[in-house]
Amino acid sequence: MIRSQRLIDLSVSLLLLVAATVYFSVWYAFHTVNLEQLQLFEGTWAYFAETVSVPGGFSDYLGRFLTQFFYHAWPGALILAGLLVLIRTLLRRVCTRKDAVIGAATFLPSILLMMVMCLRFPTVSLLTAFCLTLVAVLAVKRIRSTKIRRICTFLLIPVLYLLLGSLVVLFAAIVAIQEHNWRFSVVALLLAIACPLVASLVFPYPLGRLFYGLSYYKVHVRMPVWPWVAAVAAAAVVALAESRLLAENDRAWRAAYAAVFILAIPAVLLCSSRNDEQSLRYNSLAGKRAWNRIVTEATRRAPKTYGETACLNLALCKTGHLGGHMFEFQQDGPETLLPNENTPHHDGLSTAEIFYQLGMVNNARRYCFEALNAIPDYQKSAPVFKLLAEISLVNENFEMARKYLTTLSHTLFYRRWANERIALLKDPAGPFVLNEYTEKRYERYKGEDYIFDYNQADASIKQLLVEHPGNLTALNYLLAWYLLHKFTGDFVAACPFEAFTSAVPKAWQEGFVLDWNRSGYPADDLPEFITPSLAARFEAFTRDFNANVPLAAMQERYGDTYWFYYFFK
Amino acid sequence: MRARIPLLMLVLLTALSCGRGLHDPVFSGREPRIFPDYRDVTIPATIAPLNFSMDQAERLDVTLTGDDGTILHVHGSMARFPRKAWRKLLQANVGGAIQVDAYGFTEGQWMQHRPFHFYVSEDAIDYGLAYRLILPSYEGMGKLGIYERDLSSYRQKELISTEEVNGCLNCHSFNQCDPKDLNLHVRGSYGGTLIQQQAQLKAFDTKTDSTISSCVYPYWHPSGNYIAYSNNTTRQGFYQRAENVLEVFDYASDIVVYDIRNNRLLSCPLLKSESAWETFPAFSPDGKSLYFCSAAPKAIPQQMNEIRYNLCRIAFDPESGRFGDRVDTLVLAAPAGFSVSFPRPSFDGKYLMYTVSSFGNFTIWHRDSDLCLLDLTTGASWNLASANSPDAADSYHNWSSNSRWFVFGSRRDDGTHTRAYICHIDADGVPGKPFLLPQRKPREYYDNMLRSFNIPEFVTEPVPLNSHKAWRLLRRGKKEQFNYGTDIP
Repeated sequence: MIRSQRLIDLSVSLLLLVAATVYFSVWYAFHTVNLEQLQLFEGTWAYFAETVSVPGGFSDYLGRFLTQFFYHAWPGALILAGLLVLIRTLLRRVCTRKDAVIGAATFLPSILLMMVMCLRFPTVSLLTAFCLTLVAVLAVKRIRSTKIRRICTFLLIPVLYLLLGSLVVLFAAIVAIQEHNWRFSVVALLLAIACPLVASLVFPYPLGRLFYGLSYYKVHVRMPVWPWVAAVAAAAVVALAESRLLAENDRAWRAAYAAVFILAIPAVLLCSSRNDEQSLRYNSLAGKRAWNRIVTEATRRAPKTYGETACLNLALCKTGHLGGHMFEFQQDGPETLLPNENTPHHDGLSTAEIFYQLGMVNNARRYCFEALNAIPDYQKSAPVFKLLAEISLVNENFEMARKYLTTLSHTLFYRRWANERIALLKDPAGPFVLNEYTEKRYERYKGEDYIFDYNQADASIKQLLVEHPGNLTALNYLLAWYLLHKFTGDFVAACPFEAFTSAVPKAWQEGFVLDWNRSGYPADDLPEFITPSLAARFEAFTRDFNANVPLAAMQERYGDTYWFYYFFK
Repeated sequence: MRARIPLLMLVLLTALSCGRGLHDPVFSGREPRIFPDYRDVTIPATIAPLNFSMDQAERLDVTLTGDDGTILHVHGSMARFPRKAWRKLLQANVGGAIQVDAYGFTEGQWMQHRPFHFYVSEDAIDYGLAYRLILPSYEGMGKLGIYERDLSSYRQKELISTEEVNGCLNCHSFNQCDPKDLNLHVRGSYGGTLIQQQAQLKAFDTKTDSTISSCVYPYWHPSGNYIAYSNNTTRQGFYQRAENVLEVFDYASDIVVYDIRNNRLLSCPLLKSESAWETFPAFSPDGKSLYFCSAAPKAIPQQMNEIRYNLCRIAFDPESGRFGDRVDTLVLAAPAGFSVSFPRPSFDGKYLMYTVSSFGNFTIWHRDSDLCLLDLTTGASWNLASANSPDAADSYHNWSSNSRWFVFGSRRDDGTHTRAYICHIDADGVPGKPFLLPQRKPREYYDNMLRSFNIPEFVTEPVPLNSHKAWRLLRRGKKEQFNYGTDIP
């Protein structure tokens, strides 16, 4: 390879590394972080044994090991980008021909795999399996004796199937292509294809999944075709490198590079979903109780779904701004405050967090389990386990808390948090030391038990307030619930207007003024806690409303008010 | 010099092992706190080694001494018995006792505890257990599957799971522990009921126009010609307090019997009464009676706490498939303020075990649920106090084929997850102390196992279920339709 080609090769690899790192850490950061939240990697022998006990288990274990570093977006993005570049580099080394056309073509599988990583439920295991498959090819290539090389190939195929999964077909295909012996090729490919068939007799998985690869994608129904398109592309590139096609063609390599990278950008964007990214951002931040970041995020990009708005409302409540700012964002009924299992786009963990913050710990536990159930490949989830441990600590079920904490203590990023609490559990008085749980213990239900009814959630929240009047989260949610249900009478009855030491929040004032007006009281007699400017604005709203001002104009003028929500939503 | 290296190493190892070995123990004066609590349990001679750990003990030194003088000694971070030596010890002491002397090393001091015993029963136990492992979740299902466990080892085999079948799996049932007769429900878009007899697996759609729901809670007739089911309109609700989690309740329920030979559902007005909710059917071992639970309907959820089921019986003629014309109430629970569920007659016909709780029928979520035994000859009924736990659900139970063992689900371990406990019961109906299903490393296993052991059933041999075939049957929609009708051809 001439020096300039090497330079191009290196530069383009570096470009891919930087571009993928930036993409996965800035524009697609929460997709990356979410991969970590859908697993719980334990550094124990039992976890290793369980993971590697199925076909492809070893690459899956490596993938999960790397995924734990996705706790922060930057290292996660760097690992993803590094693996993509590594795959490209390995493929380059596998190829016999080293010219620039092949150099460009070897980027194709990595770009296809980058597309896979932009889907909703990818796994790093696919990338580790790809890497290890190519490493295996290189290892076999090093054997000079044709006979030994072929025997090793046959021996390696079942072993690689157990370690790496169905990508053994790619291994067999590449070795077959480079051997130039059709008998050997047929036998090797048949042997690779037979592996999933034999495995289906031993492992209780459908044949389709054994052929696809058990851990190449988290969802097991309607799996994307792209991982296998990438595998076919890798084999095709190796085949191209075995031929003289487009060799030493000065124009061809430039065209090849241009084509690969011009296609790469739209392809990656095609597989990416900005909407999903935004939802994951809200859910992740809610899970980490980053209330201020959620509010900041909402001012930059307004929430669009029920789940996102529910996270925002919780963040507004926890930062003391629910009454002041909630109608500045789109509200779509009570489900944007308190989602339930039928709410579209709701996330189990953030819904659990809402109930936990309210003091409704039993509902929080319920949605934690829903979040676990929603993990497509049935793995545990570290953030869910963390919340379950907290719920168990609040509920004084210390045995369950110990179990969740012990599991978390086997992880890298949750270990310290878990060990601090495990240490407390060793002392009978220890669990009562942490104020955050003591407070929640006071806030939860203590009175007569009853079945929760979502349609009467206000009754449950009221009961919380009766038992613990200082639960401000519950008070704010009760008031917001009434407003979102348009029960202004109940709202006015529940709102302690006189108790506010500073100005009554804007939405609460708007609810009061609306109810005052609808009850037929004169505007001149409005109580003092209603600011004159708000009263004047309501007067203007009434005037415009009666004058049938078009909806768009009303939204522009009053879109941030409760009145607009009341009459137009 | 080279010759001295092994000698030095030997000396070093000996010194190390002496330092870690049992020395200068102090007598604690109490029995050790071990997990699982295997103190003074009655066990079958073929059970897998009852390995255990001791609370707060860094190391254990345990000696098992059989009545025949056989000794088995282990030393380590947990009591882990070699399988062959364990088996030999148990076989040599069938009908006798094994004394367990356990020492624990805690905070630099060896503690000697009072010895306890394993009592080795002369009664044999079946090959294994079949159970469902399920998250203690409420709406979704996550990963769940039906598993088989060989009781003489720690080997567990997945029979069928959601990894393969896209739907909830429930209500696996065998004919008096014989897995050759098998019933299994699959819910979801490809749902159906799988029935396997004589190695022939068939899928059925059990919902008919004349029944209120699909068939659930199966129980095989001993002849293998019938399966009793109930049809339930079931809902669930979630409590607000931490002590209780959820309540599962019926809005309506009836009982039907499926005539396998004639593909026909049978019932009678006494089992499909408007004025009663009938559920949990179970045939007597002679096949001539059908036990079930029955409650007066109440308003749900307002009067949920007042729903109480009595234990009833109706005659059944296996020849004609006809039911008797009256219902006998065996346990009148409602006036006494409790409710009966899961009647399970022993296969020797002597007893009937059931679960009691203060109300309702889904007792696994009731902390007060306990197992009770009814003597079918005298009609006397009593609480199985030595098997029950004081403050956790003890519920779903099944008999071994010789009726000398029963397995049940209990949440005594952590209050959240159901675990399988096995208990000996003698010919007079006196139970021993139940023991937790043994595992190679029980503490590690049960700490990591965050799924519940649901519906444990004894099986006399490995379950001959081909999961690929089952899923193919369901996916291809090759389901036969249950027919409803009381006319016997």
